[in-house]
Amino acid sequence: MIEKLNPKTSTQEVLIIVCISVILAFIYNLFSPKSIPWIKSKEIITYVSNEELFQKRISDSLSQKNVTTQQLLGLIETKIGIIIDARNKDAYIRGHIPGAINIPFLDVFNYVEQLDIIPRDTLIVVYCEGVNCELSHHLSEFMLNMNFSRIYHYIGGYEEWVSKNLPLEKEE
Amino acid sequence: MKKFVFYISRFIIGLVFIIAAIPKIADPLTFAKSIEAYQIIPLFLVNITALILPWIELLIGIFMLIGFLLRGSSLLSIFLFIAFSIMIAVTLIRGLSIDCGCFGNLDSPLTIYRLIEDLILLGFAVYVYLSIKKGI
Repeated sequence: MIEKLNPKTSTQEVLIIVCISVILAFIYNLFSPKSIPWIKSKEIITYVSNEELFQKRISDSLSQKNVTTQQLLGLIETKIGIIIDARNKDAYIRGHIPGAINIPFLDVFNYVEQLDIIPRDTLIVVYCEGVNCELSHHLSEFMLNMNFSRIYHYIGGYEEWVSKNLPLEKEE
Repeated sequence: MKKFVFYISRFIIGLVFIIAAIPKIADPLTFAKSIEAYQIIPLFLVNITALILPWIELLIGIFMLIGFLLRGSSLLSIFLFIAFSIMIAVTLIRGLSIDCGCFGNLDSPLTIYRLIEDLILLGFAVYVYLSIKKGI
């Protein structure tokens, strides 16, 4: 028997699948240990103080803090710390913050030796594409597990740096 | 031969959707962050998408394999693959360096190969839909 496609039936089937999915998602999220809120709220960004950043005062907070563009410029000028670009190699080659080294998080296990030679109390600033990028956060978690103790994020990342018309370094 | 291609297409789509859905269901927060990185979906829709989309993928995957609600599953597959392809293409054009998030966990950077994969899968989904229409 040749079954002809009825447009109404297709739509109904789509609706059935979507409805079942919504119900399953609701039930699962209700009981899952990894449940998340249905509506995402804006995160509050905490910046590190200049005192903590430049005078090596040990932070009393375990939460990961961020540096402003101005603070990052200060670090580059005074040659304090290491800046790490967590984006992939292609993006790094196209352009990066001057002096930054590239540790692509998605390929991090090939860079462990490079990380391992850095003293653990070195001031590290990690960045990736921008505010919504997670690569730098994952990289900093990875480095915290390697016992690095002074890791900060440049939360605005490459996008903010470019938007402020600051100089870039490009690899040949 | 046509039936063979029809079953193979269903099998491939089904398997891909199931493999993609499970890590996303297990870790919706990571998936939500991946969605957010694309900077296409409004913030208030990010978590809603991260919670519902993997279940839609899982159901499509299962239904494609067992042959249940095939019209709806193939039609939804077409919608999803078109949406994914547009999102990837737009992101590549904008030159954003982000991880794909296609299979939930941080799997690989977003490259042109992901777009090609999506377009191939779109082809399979269209074939399944048209085959049902023609009465296979």
